[in-house]
Amino acid sequence: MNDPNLLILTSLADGDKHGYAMMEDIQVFSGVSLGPGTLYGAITRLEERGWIRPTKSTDRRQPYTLTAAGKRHLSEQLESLNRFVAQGRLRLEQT
Amino acid sequence: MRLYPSAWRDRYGEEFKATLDDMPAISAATVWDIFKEALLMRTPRAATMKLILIFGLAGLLIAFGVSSRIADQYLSESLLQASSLDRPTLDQSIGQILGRQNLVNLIEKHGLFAPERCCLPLEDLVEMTKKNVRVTLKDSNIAVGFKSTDPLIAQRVTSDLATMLTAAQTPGQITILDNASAPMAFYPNRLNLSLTGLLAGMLIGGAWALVKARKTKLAG
Repeated sequence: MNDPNLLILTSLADGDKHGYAMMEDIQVFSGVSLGPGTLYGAITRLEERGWIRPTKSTDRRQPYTLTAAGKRHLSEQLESLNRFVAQGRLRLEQT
Repeated sequence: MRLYPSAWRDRYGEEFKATLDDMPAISAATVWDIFKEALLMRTPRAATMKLILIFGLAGLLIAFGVSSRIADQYLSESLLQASSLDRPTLDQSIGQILGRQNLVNLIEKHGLFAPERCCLPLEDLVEMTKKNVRVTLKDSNIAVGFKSTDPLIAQRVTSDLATMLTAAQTPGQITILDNASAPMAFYPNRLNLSLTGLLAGMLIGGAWALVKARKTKLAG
């Protein structure tokens, strides 16, 4: 699982985070090391799609939060992944 | 950072730099990651490419359709030699074969511009015939030709024009080197027109995508 969009949405699911905090969090929960270019490319797309938005910030670091549409999208994606995982397991057990 | 689009730098530049400052070290992999993403941002997106492709295809089809409706124009040419004549005499001979009466004779003999004869005055037909005659002078050689949508007429009129030119001077002063050539379709160049349509369509598609992107940005 190394889709930057999904990794960022999952990272923001438990609270607002700024860029570097997201990179560290993603590294911890998925083992994926996201580069700053990839991270900000994905942040740009996610914000354009209305799935995340910036929150108020007091310094140069800009935290982001999940929007309602972002939560819905993440939920749908995870459901789809669940079905995929279940199907994969089922087929493995049949062989 | 300068590799990124300026609009992106204005929006994300400061926080992006802050993220880089937070990182303990910048490795070669990080530099590559930043460079690769900047290149991706400079590449037109799929939606833009789709618009460019759709408009380009529409332009190609329209241009091909229009060019298919244009009747083919044929040109036949005859090459003559006038070695012993000076330029003013030659110009005079050419002026003579392009005289009103000669052209009227050609119109009647070959039934030129049959569909237009009912509605246009003879003077207009004479002018149209004159416009379709092509005379090129190079040293002592004269190339005389006629353009028509009917290849046979193009060749026959060219042959008549060459004969008239030789008859305009003392026999032997102007000789025919090559008789009226097999007519060649020279217009419209459908490939060129279609490619022009494709290019124009792609440009319009690109401009459309730009306008759309700007509108979305303003709305946001």
